[in-house]
Amino acid sequence: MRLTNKLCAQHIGWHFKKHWQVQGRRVPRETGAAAELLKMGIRVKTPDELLNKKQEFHPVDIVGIAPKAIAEDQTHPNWHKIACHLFRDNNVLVGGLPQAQVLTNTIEINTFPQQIEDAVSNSQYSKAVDRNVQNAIFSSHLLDAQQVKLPKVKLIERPAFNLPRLYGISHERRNRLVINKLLLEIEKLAGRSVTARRKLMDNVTFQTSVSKDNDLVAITLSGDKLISSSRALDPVKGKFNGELPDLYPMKCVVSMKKQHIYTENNFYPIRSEINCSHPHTIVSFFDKTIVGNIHGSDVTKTQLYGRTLLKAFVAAAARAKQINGVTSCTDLQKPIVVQCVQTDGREFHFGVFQLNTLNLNSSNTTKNYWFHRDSIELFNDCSYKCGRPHLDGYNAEPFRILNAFYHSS
Amino acid sequence: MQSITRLLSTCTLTLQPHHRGALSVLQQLRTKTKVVEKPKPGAGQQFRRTVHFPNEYTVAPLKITHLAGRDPVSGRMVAKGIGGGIKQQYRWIKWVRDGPSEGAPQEEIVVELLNDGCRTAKVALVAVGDELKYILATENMREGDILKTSRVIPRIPVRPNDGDAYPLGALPVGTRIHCLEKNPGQPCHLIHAAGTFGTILRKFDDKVVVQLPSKREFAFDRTCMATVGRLSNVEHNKEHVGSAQRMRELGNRPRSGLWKRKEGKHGRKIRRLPPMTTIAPPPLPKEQEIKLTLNL
Amino acid sequence: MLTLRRGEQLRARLNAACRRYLSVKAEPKAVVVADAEYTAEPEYPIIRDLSYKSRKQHTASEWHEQIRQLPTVEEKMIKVNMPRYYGYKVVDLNDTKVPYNALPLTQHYTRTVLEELPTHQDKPDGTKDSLEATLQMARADIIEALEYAHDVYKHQLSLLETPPDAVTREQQLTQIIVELVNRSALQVLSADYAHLNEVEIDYNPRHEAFWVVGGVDPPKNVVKSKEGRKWQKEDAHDSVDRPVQYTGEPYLALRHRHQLPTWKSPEESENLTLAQQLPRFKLDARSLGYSVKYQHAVNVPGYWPSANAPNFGMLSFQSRAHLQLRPTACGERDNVEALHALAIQSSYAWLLAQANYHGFNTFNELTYPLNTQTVITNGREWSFYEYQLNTLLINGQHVDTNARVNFCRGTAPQPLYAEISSEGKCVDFNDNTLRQLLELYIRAPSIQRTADELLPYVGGATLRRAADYENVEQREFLERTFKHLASKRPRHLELPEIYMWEKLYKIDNKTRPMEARRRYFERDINPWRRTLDQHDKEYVSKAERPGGRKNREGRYKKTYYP
Repeated sequence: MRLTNKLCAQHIGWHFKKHWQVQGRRVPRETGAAAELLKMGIRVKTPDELLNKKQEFHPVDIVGIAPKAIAEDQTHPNWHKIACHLFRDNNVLVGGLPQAQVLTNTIEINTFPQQIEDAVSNSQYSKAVDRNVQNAIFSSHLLDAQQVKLPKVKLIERPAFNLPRLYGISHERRNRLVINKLLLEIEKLAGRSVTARRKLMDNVTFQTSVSKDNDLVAITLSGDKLISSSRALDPVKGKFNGELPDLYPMKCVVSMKKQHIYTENNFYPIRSEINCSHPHTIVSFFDKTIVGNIHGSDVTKTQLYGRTLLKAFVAAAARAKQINGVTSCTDLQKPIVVQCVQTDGREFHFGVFQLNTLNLNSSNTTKNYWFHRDSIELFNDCSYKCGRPHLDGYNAEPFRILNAFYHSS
Repeated sequence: MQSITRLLSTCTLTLQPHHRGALSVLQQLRTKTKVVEKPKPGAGQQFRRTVHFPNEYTVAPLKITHLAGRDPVSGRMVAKGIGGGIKQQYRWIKWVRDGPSEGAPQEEIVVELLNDGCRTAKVALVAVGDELKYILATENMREGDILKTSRVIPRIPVRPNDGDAYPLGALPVGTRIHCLEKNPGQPCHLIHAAGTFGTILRKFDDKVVVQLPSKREFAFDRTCMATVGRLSNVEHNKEHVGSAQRMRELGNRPRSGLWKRKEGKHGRKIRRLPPMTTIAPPPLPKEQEIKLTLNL
Repeated sequence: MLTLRRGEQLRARLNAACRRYLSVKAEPKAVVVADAEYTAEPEYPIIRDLSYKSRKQHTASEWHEQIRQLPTVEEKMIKVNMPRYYGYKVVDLNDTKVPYNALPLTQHYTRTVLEELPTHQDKPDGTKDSLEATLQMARADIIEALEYAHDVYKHQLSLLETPPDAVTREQQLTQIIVELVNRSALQVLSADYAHLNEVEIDYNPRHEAFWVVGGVDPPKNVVKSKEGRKWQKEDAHDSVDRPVQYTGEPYLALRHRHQLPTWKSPEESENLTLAQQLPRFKLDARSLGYSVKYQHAVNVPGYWPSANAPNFGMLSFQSRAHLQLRPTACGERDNVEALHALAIQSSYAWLLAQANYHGFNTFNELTYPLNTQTVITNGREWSFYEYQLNTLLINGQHVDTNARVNFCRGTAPQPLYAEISSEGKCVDFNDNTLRQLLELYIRAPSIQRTADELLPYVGGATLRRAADYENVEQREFLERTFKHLASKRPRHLELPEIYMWEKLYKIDNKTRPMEARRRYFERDINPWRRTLDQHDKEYVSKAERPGGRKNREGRYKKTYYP
């Protein structure tokens, strides 16, 4: 283009705009004028105060479709000044079994009580029983016809893969079936004289709160199956000594959520007036998609053991408080014994808990007892292999222990 | 027919002059360029993700939102070459290692070492009392290790272990450190990347000179807290990405193609390192500026 | 497509006729030699009716015969599903909803004669003393179980801030009661009745059944379409078939290796006049409030086909919690009828699914009757039903010609107890109800059949299920396909649909002539004709390909659709 006036013309408006984009932002300097005016008794107002007056809105109370959520602050009816450590079903203790031991003031004994050990080693079953147990495994793990969407599967080494969603038996149902079928088999063996003294109940909740060295702990745990008996289990014979593990520098309430809103309930699922109300065995399921560490890691074996211990403890403590009164936190006249089983359908962990004292402070010399062995597997693998049902590495030991547990009185 | 409509339209326009004005204003607004301010890349702000931090510190993995190089305020593209990638979970590191200012140091235990997808170094879950927290894991840290933290500066330097946190003044010369506080109390910690470390070179007055991973030397206040040791995942800088797809999984888009090796524009310029610098005190908070409007 | 297939058929028939003619022409000598082949009366081949209708019937029966010939249970099921990629449009019967006046439809759809039994008020004379003794023993146990269940459930509810709705509450409580009552009954009775030691208990099993019902009036669009063609005008109002799918989840189901004894003789079951007296619900099931949906035919009696599972149902406990959702305007009588309808549907469906595992299905008739017992309960009210399945043929013209009928007999609901008092005690326990319940347990499954008799349409001793195949690939394929169909997973392709704008701008008014014609209605493709095997075959990577990396034949995995 020729160099003419037209070409050299500048748009003054455009230049003003550009200039104003920079110059339009100002930081007012302190000139002292406001202070001077104040001295003379004149109130200084900002332009906003006059021009953009703040409108106050009064919220209208609308009746919604659902009841309004209560604000989770100090106005909440369950607000307490002292925070409490909460432990629920989807959490585990980060310190595992040692932490559970310290928390519940329990010493660990690495065998079952003598009578259960005897019952396990003396038990002899016919081939038919073994076959029935294997059939129970098949029908709960493979042959049940439920088809629901299973949780997503991710390969750790290939996180970008979106694998096809699997359909099959849900974890919860698989566990329920396997336990129901094993118990049915055991009840067939036991006969009416034993079974009449037991009652089964699904999906029960235990709630209790205890204080441990100035910390308040509220535990709410569920038992997926509760076997109650008409007579309480006898305390384990013998005296056991042991030391509590040292957790330093951790405290035993680490990894429990601290909250100000809580209730100090004590709840045992069966009223004490009922005939068959004594806790006998608690079966709880372990589903790794629901239960996990607070920091998102996989649950380790010792954490699994700790969970079993806590389940047994909460049942025993809830029962003890139901009998002796909610406020009791002393040594028990008659110890309460609870057996506990935790399973993910394949791996079983058994334990027997004896609650000797509700006083969990570390200064207390009376300790609770926890008898357990390492977890054992019912089988290695149960799946369709090449289009045929396939059971690999069946182990009868869990069934024997479960049977001994069921029979113990 | 057409002439009649034209006539009618002019009639209405003359009858309702203010309508016409409103229309013209609308039309002007439509073509007016909106001035959007967006930040410049490279000023310490990241445009890869926003982390949804809760009010209270937690060790639960946090949810993130990918930004794909966009400024979260204006939504405009700022950084090129970012986008996509595997959704990771963020672990909230507790940067301030707070210890007692007198008496014995506080002891903490390493519970677990974890990989965090949002950063290169490993992360250690640490427990003390009834509290759990994450810190960056050092090269030699193992599960079950006891870490010490103290703000005491003794007359003779302490003999620190990996993962211990002390003020710079308490550490002997030659110590490798990381997670170094820029100024006492300032929420800015240096040296985070995998395998990096700073070295304490010398001390003068109440300053301690540290060589940062960039090889530059800076003089820090002697009360600045630092953690001892070299950061974990030492091999990180030797690792190959491996494939273009892996690059995409990491959240990076293809290169722009503008880099030219031979044209001298991007050539390497070797210069002497600048001399030692004293770290400036933290900047004062920015004054509130007023935005004046001008309706032209 | 249709015309082509039809042309092929005609050609084939012509060829066959020619060949027959030629063969007769070519072998005149043989005729001379084999004198014995001659008969006094000439025997002519059957003259086929070549009308459109009968040809249709013939192809249908040929297809049914193909299904019958298949060796394994899984293959039969897949074969039934083969014609439909998106599944059949089925009437959705389920155990969570029984609409008003459902009994006639149920009787028509299941070909069932209902016999209502009076409820016993007193102790019947003929009962054995031994039963009375066990009854007394069970009585205490069951009262205790009832009280225990109520108490514990009430106690648990007190923990919740917002209790669940009434239907859920009833279901949860009844589940507890049924499990406890079943446990007590088995404990008390198993000492005296050995068959109870062999029962297999299913907890909330999945019961599903698919069948096809004939004798339903055609929908309006079918009538209109047929009336538009001269040669079909007369058949426009002919009845059509409706696929039906039942889906249920009882509280509990008991299975046994042997069959329950029948209570209707074969002569009683074969009665054409009785069959024709059955109610016929000719209207669309949607007029009652049932819904329809697309899904594959699924037959599941609670478990997958396996080698030696207890295959015969003995007793199932159904829920009646959904009755609470029925409007009160339905009335007392209809509520009882709804229970009857539920009992008939659930029993029929369970037995059909069991029959399916023995090689029968809705197109291949049963060769022996099947029996089951059903209890519908909410813990307090119990109604007891017995069902005998004699026939499965209800499709096509069988609905008019099939002489066999199924039987159901049962009682109106009767209380097991009047109420649970506020102290948690059981008031007015009804021994008669308990006696009837125990009688269901006591009835021993006694009928045993040989394998050939039991599985007449299944391959043989060595080939009954897909797992019996020698070919590993085939086994895996059949197992996977069978489960895939049964999982009700949505198909890879979406259901075909003409959007409203397409109907306006592409079909009714051809306003977009320049656009590429990609949609099925623009390319004369009927997507509903897509068959199950019309999908991309699974790719085999070069590293795993049999016959080397360059083998083009092995690029895709083989399929084994029947």
